[in-house]
Amino acid sequence: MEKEFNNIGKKMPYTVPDGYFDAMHEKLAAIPGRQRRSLVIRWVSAAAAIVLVASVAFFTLRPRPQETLLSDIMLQYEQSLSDEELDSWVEFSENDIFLDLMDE
Amino acid sequence: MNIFLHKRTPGVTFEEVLKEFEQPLYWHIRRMVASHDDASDILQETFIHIYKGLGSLREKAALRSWVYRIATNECLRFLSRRKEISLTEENSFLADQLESSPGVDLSDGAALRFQKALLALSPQQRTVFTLRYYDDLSYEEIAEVTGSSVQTLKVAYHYAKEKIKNAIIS
Repeated sequence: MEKEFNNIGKKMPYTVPDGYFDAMHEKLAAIPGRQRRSLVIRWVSAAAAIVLVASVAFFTLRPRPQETLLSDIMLQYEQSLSDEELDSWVEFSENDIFLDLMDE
Repeated sequence: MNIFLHKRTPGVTFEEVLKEFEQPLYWHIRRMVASHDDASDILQETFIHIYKGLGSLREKAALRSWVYRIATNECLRFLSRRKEISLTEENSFLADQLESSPGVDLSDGAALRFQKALLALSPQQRTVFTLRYYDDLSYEEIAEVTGSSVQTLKVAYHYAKEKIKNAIIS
């Protein structure tokens, strides 16, 4: 049995295509360059993501100036009128020829 | 000068590791997975890990067991991904596939029988056997590769050798 082992030695039935190891060496030697490019891409992507998140946060979370609506101004104005002033204003509005034309 | 081609750990560059280990690692991987295409893919993955980890290697003396550990782990990961392969039991899947695989010389019957017997071992036993028999690693180095004790490895090697002998003569 030992003889059989020794006869075979380290022989293997495997073969590789011609020039395989030269071509593989080229591929493997390119790994540092590929890794560097992928590292740069990862850093740029991370920086872009940070900028995007910061921009979204800035525009959504920043304090906004109080918006004053026209309807609020009108409401305040109406509340400041006395009943007599309000009646006369309504009457004026109903008889205003221009407002009537706009309604039509 | 591309500094990434000259990444230094204790006096070792990626280029030097590549020159010294690309062919031994290819054959180690090929013996583990049998297929040339699979071995090529695993070899590339192995060297990517080597490149990434070279900076963390402390001692040059540990280089050989370190690169073999990476290659072996990649092989075991590859084999475990294949559902038809069990990492804990002996299997004949790879052995059965051997004769139909491209890149196999069928004319040397003895070498073919030997390799089929090797592929029928469990991946762990195959690892120990190939590292000792083909790659001439010491048991201490194999212990660093596999994380097993030297005594366990000696027993595993003995059993693997017996199984191969029995397979050859049967």
